[in-house]
Amino acid sequence: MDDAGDPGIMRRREWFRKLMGGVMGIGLLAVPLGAGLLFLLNPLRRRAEQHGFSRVASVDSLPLGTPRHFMVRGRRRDAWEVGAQVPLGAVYLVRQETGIRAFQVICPHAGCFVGYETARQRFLCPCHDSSFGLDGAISNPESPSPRGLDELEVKIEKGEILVRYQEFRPGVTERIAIS
Amino acid sequence: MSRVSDWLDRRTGYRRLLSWLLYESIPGGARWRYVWGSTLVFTFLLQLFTGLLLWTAYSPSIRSAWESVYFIQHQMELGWFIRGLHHYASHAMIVLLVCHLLQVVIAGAYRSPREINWWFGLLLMGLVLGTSLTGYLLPWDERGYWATQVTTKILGIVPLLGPTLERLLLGGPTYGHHTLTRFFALHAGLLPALLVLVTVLHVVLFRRHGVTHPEDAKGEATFWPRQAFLDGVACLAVLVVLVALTGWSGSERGFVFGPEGGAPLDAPADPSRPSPSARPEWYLLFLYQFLKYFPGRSEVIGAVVIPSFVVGVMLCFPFLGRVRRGHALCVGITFATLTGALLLTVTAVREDQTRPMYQAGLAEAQQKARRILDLARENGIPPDGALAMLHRDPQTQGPPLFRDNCSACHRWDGHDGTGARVTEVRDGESVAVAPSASDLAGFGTPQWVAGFLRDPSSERFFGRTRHRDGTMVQWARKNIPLMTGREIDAVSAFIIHQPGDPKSAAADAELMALGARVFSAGTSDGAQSCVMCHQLDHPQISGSGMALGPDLTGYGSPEWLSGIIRDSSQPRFYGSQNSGMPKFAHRLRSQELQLLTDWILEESRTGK
Ligand code: FES
Repeated sequence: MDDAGDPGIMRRREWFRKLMGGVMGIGLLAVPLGAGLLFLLNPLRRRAEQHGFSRVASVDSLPLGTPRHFMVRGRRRDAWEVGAQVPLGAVYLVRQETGIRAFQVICPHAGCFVGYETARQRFLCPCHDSSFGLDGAISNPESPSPRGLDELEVKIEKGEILVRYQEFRPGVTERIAIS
Repeated sequence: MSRVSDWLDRRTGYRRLLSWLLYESIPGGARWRYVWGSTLVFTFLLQLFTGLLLWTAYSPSIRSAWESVYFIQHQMELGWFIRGLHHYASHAMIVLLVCHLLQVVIAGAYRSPREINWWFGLLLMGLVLGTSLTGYLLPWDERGYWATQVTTKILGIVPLLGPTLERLLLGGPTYGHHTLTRFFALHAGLLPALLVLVTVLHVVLFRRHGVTHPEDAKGEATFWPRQAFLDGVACLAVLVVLVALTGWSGSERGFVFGPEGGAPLDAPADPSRPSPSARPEWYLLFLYQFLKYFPGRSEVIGAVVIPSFVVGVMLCFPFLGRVRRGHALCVGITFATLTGALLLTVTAVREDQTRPMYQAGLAEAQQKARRILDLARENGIPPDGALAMLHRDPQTQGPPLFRDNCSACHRWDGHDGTGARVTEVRDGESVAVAPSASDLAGFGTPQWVAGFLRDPSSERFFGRTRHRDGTMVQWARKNIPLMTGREIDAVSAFIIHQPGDPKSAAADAELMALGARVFSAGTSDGAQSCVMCHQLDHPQISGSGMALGPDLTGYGSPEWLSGIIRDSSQPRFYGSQNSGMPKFAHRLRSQELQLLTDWILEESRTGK
């Protein structure tokens, strides 16, 4: 039987072709795009290392009242690489009569390495001029930084200063550790 | 010839394409002001070409990016030239883009029916900026690293999606290998591909509507040959300027055509050291400066909201342009924005010029860049990378190590090793701290020993220690007046140039013999010998006294120095006489100890 001339069947066939074309199109796109998307999203699953305490300096090598920055080493996983004692970053140590405090050197504004101005006894960020007192608090209200320097946990053991290294999200008022 | 071209044309139809390309009509004739688009295309092609060349030698990872760029710049034939062209052409693109934009705005070419092409143009601008930003990080040097930190952190404060986008861009929670691989994929892959695509669309649409000519334009010409000639001249001018810039190395040095010229390359990025002179490229300084005026929570307004608003307004130009006086408004907005950006840029530069922290940082960055070059040229770069090499360099690491470990008591030529005074804060006042131990500048040289012998109780030596009135000081008071200058020099040289000292072979034999005599038997004028209190294993020294003072065997050698730093209370050194110097054996990692001793001895020897 020849039903090629039947307009109803013709329409249905046409419709079916379009449907199949659509399905094939989606399939052709979905496989590479879906796989690619998952591949690219991989960093979202990576977590920042949770560091323990690492030794940074000795108490008596710190002058009173003058902050110094020290490199912190620790374990770090970077993509394919795992290092046990790699430089993680740096911290400021401030020794005062009341004790020793440690601050992250990264500016809470936008991530520059904060400097210290000996003459004016304040931390000053070389990028957008945020300034902080020795207690880490913002000292000039015009500072663009949304919060004071990020304080880190410190422990003293046998005259050695240990610090738990952490980094925090810049640009927000709350202190949120990067995890 | 014409048979060949006929043959080719029948098969490809290339003549139609060619005539479409060349015989575009230009009402009013060729003009210089129409050259911007062509110069941009030319510069972009130059970028694709030089970029591809650099690609053949670049390696994106945190231990090979800087290293491969160094190799391009300093070792490969004309690497500095290719890299310099690529660097300055990126600046040129920004300048040309601004010229092109101004021309389009002034001519009103953003208006109907060219709206879509105006948007394509803005999109192209964004793509070019993105390509520049991603390219700035690729050498992984100090300035690129720190400037890009600011950029990506700003991405992170974009409401809602910011943190996710930032992490996707960085390839993880913090900077690492995948930051470079991703930036590279964007810089050399995705963004240029989009640029090519959008540029083609931009040109096709442009041809569809033709140039926006003055309404009273008379006559008509085609692109070929007049306009093509003008475009050619303009492109040539761009190239000449680029070549000149590639050689230009500042007003002091003038033109340097060689690896020392070309694009700048700082020392490799080091997250654990400050870099106060790191800045974004000049064309982004205005945004960078802008951030200073938005304290606290309002950062997002300055960094994200206002810039997006300006871009949004520009996207609306085609509609704004329709209303009465709309065109004047659009031109006004464009000029106001550019003037604002210019003012901010000038302010940023001015502020840096008067900022001591920036200036000091700049000097330090230049010094570091020179040092790493010397090291790399001397020995090549080890497999663990240039930064690790810098971390192992006594000349770089010695001063901060001395400051952090020794300067609480010792001084180096009066300062803390890095050149700064040692101060303390008491009652809010910054006061200089007096040293409580010897000044070690010159330690390990005969001159230092001679100085010490002449006046051990001076402040440079024992003056502030518990040995101030000790046996050594008493010995010197009694015996030094009995010795001649030559005898003092001789015994000092003898103590330093012991067998094993690299310089001992070159030392004056007669002087050494005299030194050995004085050391073991004193002088003919009655000065007492050193062996009374000090030991020294040496073929010419026989017998020894009571070992009251440190054993001088190997005195001034790296081994002796690191020994006393590790534990000066050992019987071999000060024993029970130790004046409170801490044991550094467990404080310094052995590599740090070695760096410190190497630096002290090397710096003393070279007399810096
Ligand atoms: S990064 Fe410190 S003030 Fe902006």
